Amino acid sequence: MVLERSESELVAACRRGERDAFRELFERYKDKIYSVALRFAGQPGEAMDIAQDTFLKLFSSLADFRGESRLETWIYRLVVNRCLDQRRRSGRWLPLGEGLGRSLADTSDSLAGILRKERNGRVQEAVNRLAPDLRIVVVLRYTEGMSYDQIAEVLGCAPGTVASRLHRAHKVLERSLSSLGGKGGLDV
Amino acid sequence: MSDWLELELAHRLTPVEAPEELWERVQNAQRAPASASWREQRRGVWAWPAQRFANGTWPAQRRSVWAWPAAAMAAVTLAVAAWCVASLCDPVLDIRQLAAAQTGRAAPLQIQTSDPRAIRLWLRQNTGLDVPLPPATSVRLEGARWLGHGSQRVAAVEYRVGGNAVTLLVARADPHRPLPSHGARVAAWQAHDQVYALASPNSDQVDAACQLCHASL
Repeated sequence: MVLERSESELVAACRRGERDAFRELFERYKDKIYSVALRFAGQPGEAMDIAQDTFLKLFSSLADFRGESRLETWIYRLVVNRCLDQRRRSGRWLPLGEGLGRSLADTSDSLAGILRKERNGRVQEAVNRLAPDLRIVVVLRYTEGMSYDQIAEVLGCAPGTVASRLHRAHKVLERSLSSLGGKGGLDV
Repeated sequence: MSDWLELELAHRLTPVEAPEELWERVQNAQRAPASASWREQRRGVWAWPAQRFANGTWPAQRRSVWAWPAAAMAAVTLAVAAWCVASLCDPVLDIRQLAAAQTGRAAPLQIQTSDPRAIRLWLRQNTGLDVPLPPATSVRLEGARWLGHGSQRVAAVEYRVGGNAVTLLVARADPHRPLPSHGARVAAWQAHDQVYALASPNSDQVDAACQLCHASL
């Protein structure tokens, strides 16, 4: 039976350059980092770039981690910064209907699967159209299930700001996804 | 917020598993420092604040506070540099030569009128120059146009004295370059901050050309 190292032990091991400690750190956080990146960017390729950059930054700057915040919060900050940087650099937006077309093109799936993919694609596209500062709040809230306080800590802003951004995001999403409302969409 | 939206978002934006190849990509990028760190190198100037931000010691808002003034300063510097280059590249205006070059050249008029007030107004709007023409004149005004010379515009008033076409050119005087005392054989003078030149194919008619403003000549 292998016991998981504590956060501080893991960081210390990474600082000593222990290879398996890096791998353990990667395994612990890879899904969180990739999920945030994918839900923010909307494209797997871009999400891989963000995740890769985040890990490179994480491994290269662990020595600077002073433990003033939790390691997880610090790592979320890294990925959030990478997401926002990537958006500034690429300036690209997912073309309207791309996800929809992709899901419909996959004819090997069952009808329910196609419909589910279509709905997923529509929600993701609507999220992609949000301004980056609103989108990141939505992703942290719904993908990572964070509280307002946790999001505020990651973004370095007040919880009230988080609430306000989330409210604005909901208004926009409500408009763009109004056709999904009240149709029992969760069945698919 | 509607319940359905809350449910949709929670249901559709679920976490996903990272692809297997992510670890390999990270390792490859670590082994190839040149390719892995090109973004860092490109933003070397920002590396220090970026690192502080990543450490959590640099508030997110602080980045934009510095970024905008920096961008504004860079824009102003570029604009000043562009203006300096444009000024240096601007050809020196010799209104005598320009007038000589206009002699006998029939260029189309951009405003065709014999009304001196309309010509004055049009020139002010299109060249920024004030060309005060007398309300009544013994010559026959035909209209005006402007000539581009580098970044500046030169006003040209066209009129006829007898059967001869005359062009009065007006430009802003360059305080660093006084009007040449000699050069092409055309009448030229400076008054206040503007230089003037008269171009006529008939050099004997230069005195007559002055009748545009000096009826007693």
